[in-house]
Amino acid sequence: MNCKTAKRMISAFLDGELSETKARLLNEHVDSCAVCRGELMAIRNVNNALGLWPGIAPTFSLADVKQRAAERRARQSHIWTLPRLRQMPQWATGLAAFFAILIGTVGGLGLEAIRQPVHQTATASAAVSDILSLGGSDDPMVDLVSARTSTGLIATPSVHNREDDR
Amino acid sequence: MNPYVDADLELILTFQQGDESAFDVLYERHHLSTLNVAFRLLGSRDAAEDIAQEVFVKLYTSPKSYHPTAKFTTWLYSVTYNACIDEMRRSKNTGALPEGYDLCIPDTYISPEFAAESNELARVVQSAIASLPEKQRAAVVLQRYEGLTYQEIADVLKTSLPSVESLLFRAKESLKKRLASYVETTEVLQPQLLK
Repeated sequence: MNCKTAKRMISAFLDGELSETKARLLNEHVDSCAVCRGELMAIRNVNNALGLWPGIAPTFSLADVKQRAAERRARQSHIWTLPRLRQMPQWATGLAAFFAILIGTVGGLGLEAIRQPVHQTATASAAVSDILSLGGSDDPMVDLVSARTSTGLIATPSVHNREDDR
Repeated sequence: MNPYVDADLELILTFQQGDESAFDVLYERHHLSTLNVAFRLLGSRDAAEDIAQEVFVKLYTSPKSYHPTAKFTTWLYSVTYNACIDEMRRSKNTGALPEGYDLCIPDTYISPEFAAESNELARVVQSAIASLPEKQRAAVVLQRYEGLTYQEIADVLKTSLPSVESLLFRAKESLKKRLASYVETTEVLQPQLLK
């Protein structure tokens, strides 16, 4: 066993994680290598030093945990959507907002586009029925102008009589 | 081998069937280790207490989230570790010791001088562990403070056994350098002391 291999095995050796065979090989190497003995000692001291960091005791109790769980359940049962929204990452919320605006805009434009031809069709229908129902004049052109004027398809023209102008 | 292993499995299965007293026993057995794993990973008592409570709230409200394919403690440490990683990324908490942080060292039986020295050493150790990358830190905490085997650590971190060996080797090398002023490295053991 060379020093590089031995060095990599020291931590596992001290943690009791080496197989019997590997541990024996490492022991044999360390017996004859002062550098690796030093390394083993150093890692052992590191392990001991780590024990100087004490743990902490909780300031909460089992009752606190159950209280928190009860509050969580109550919130989820009353408003199930809001916690989900709150759990969503910011980018997902932004994306959802973008699509909502996009759908609103496209929907609005679509409605406007639909409304325009419907209006014209309805007006044209009214004009035709006016022509058919008026029929009072002998001149169909007069009826047509009259009907279109009444339905607003054309601006009301000023009907000038040359004789009146005079 | 943890003597609680089989009992833990029995308890969690009992709790999954609706017996709340089984949850109480699981809490009593494991809340301290859950809290301290979180504390040593995050370096903050407040964040650790919050995480530890959340882990048990999750178990209490969704007992079926544990599947008996893994040991209960493996599942518990995994949930704690993942929650700590999320917390670190969310708050950019690196596990570093905050300014003015006072370590909880029992002082009923030691002199003020020794207490101050112990506090300083504990601070140095915590700072050294906090400087490790997340996975190395987790491997050290689970091995040194919770006594998990390398295979159990591999299960918690969802990695391989050689990877855990490598994580711990690199972690100990880093810690050796960081703690060089505090641990004796020059003394060379006599061969017979190693046996």
